[in-house]
Amino acid sequence: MVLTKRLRAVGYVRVNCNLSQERVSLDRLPTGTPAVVVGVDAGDDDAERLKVMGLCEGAPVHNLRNGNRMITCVAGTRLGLTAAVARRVTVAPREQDEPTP
Amino acid sequence: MSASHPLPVLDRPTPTPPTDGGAACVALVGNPNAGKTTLFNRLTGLNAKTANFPGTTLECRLGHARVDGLALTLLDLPGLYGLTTGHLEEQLAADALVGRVPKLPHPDAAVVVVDATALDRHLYLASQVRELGVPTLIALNMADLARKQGIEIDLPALSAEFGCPVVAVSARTGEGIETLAHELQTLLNAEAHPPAPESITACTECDGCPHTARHRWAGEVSRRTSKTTRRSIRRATDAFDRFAVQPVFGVLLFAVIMAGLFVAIFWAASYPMDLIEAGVAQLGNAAGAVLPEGDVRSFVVDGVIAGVGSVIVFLPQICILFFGLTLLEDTGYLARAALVMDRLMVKVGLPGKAFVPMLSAHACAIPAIMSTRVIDSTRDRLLTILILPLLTCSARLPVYAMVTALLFADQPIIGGLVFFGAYALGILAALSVAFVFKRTILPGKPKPLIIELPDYRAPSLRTALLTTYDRGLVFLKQAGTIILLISVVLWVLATYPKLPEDQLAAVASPADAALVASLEAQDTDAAREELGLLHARYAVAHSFAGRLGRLVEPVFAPLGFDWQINIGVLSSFAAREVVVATLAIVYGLGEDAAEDTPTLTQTLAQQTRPDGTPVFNLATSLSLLVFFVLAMQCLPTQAVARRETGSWKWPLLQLGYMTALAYLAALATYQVTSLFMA
Repeated sequence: MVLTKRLRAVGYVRVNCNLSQERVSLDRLPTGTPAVVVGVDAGDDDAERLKVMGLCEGAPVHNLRNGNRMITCVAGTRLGLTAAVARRVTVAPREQDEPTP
Repeated sequence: MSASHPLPVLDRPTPTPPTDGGAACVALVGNPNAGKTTLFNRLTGLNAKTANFPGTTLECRLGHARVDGLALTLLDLPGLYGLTTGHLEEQLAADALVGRVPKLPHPDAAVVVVDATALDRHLYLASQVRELGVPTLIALNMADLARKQGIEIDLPALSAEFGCPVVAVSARTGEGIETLAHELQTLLNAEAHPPAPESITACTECDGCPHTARHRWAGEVSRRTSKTTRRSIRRATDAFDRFAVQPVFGVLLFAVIMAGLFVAIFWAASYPMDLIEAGVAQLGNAAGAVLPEGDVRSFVVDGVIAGVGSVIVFLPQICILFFGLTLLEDTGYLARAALVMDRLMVKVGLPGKAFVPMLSAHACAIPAIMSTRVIDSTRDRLLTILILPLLTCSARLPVYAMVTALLFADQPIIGGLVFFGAYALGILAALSVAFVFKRTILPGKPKPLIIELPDYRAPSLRTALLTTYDRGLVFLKQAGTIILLISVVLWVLATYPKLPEDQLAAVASPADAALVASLEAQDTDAAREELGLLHARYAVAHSFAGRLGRLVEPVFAPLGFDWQINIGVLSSFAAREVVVATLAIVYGLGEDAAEDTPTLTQTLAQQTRPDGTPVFNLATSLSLLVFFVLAMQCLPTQAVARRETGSWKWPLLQLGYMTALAYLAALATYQVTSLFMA
């Protein structure tokens, strides 16, 4: 409980250190698996849009629906996006029992 | 655009507080789903108008409000996710917030509308606005929904984090509006305004990714100041969304919802449309009774009243369409529909968000073009606007009805199939043209879809009604200006030069001249009426429109059109449905007969060419149908396209390609069908 509170207080940085699985692109993250964004293919307008919408490094994320048109949950809301765009976001899955920041 | 743009920080001292009696200007800013427009509508009601950012088609709304004794000028900026991505829209909104947009009032304060049920996301923009240096107030909207979802927000703590007042409101129910006014008053009267807290400015100044720092900050503040005890509504939305965006079920669901909306449009609109038609007819009769017979009466009754009336009759369809669409959008469903349709639309180079405008275009292209504003990429929006008029609008229905009645009056199944074919041809043409334009003048892929899917919620009737009122008013203004002008020009072309009554016998064909002589000899009411119709027919042929019809005969002959049909085609240049009325006149039936389809089609079917063959044979009729499916033939649409694209270039391209397409397709139809018939 204390650990949970502490993790929440320090936010994403600490969670980032608890990476325990292989990195995958967001479109390949299984639904329901919590993960943290570790990188967004930078360089253009779309990447900038993704970041403004909350898909930037350190953000906790999980997918609600996978497929060609997928739904991901980030920064407290759902985002609908194409798999092609999601492919540019790299995430690191977290253990199921890790607290969601 | 990879680099973030710096925030335009206000470089002057705090704005002067409003003097007594003068209304202070307050800008409303927020994410697209924050309920900003609902709050704006709640505060301003009908006292609002739509304005454009100078030199752009980007819109904002200006309105006046008096809340709890406080007079305000409200500026509703477009919905935004951030201020620094370098998008024109965001740049303009940031400029407007600090009073750098000419012709827009300088805001004395900014109200950031924040969705209380999604603090994480919305505090990002709020922190950027707070940094601008404009006196800021945060309105935590949807406070009622947040309570229902078990979200408790510590207002004083949030206020301390931002260093500015925070008020919980519900724009839908009106809860907290007085407190909002009170806090605004205090904010506007304050001598000094504290700068943004360091924790916020640190997000901009840090060396790493500014988005990351700011999102992290927003997330932390959200966690520090709010707690959630229930998440049932969110879970219900999540569960429904798993099906709502499924490739098969999602498309089916969307089809059912849109079919329902369109059935509603066509059926519900028919009653007010009948009323408007009857009203226009009565107005025409009343004006006709008051005005002396002559050019003035003809001008007012046939030119102005009939011309504008024929367009105003579509007002109910436009209103019901916008009412339904606004309700649907407010529930949060349209965002899902865009996601579902994106998959199919992207294949022809169109974005998913183009689907709703494309469906709307089946009622009328004008509201459809107006509703393309939901598409945020300029390229995608232009492409959508360019193809929309190819879809079968309700003004084409009288033409379709006439041709099918002419050809297949006794074969309802084939008639129905022809009708269906005309619709299908329109859709096929629109998709093909989009496909061609994607590879030629508007290259590139549609902007990949990244769309927020808000929680489902009950829509606001007030917002839907006010949006309907606003869109209806825009349409009526068009009808009152450009459509009026077009009606007048058409009337002039079809009226002058006039054919004096006594010269009828001189210009008529030998057979008709003999008829004129015998009718004049009879001198009965029936004979006079017959004579009047005969005169009307030759008067049209004698007018500029008639002369033009003969002049362009060589151009349209390969399509199987004779000079009378040409008059129909030319006179319907501005509004396609006019062709039926024009054909009724040029074939000597009188305008009233156009209402009476059996009489009209019987007469049309009896028309013969000089060689004795019928004018409206299968080849000519199909050619005419194809021409009207594909031709632009609607100046009001062009005027709206000009307004929405900001230049005449696009409407002219639209006119050019559609006319060429219509001509070539009608040519092919006539020639091929003639071959088979021969």
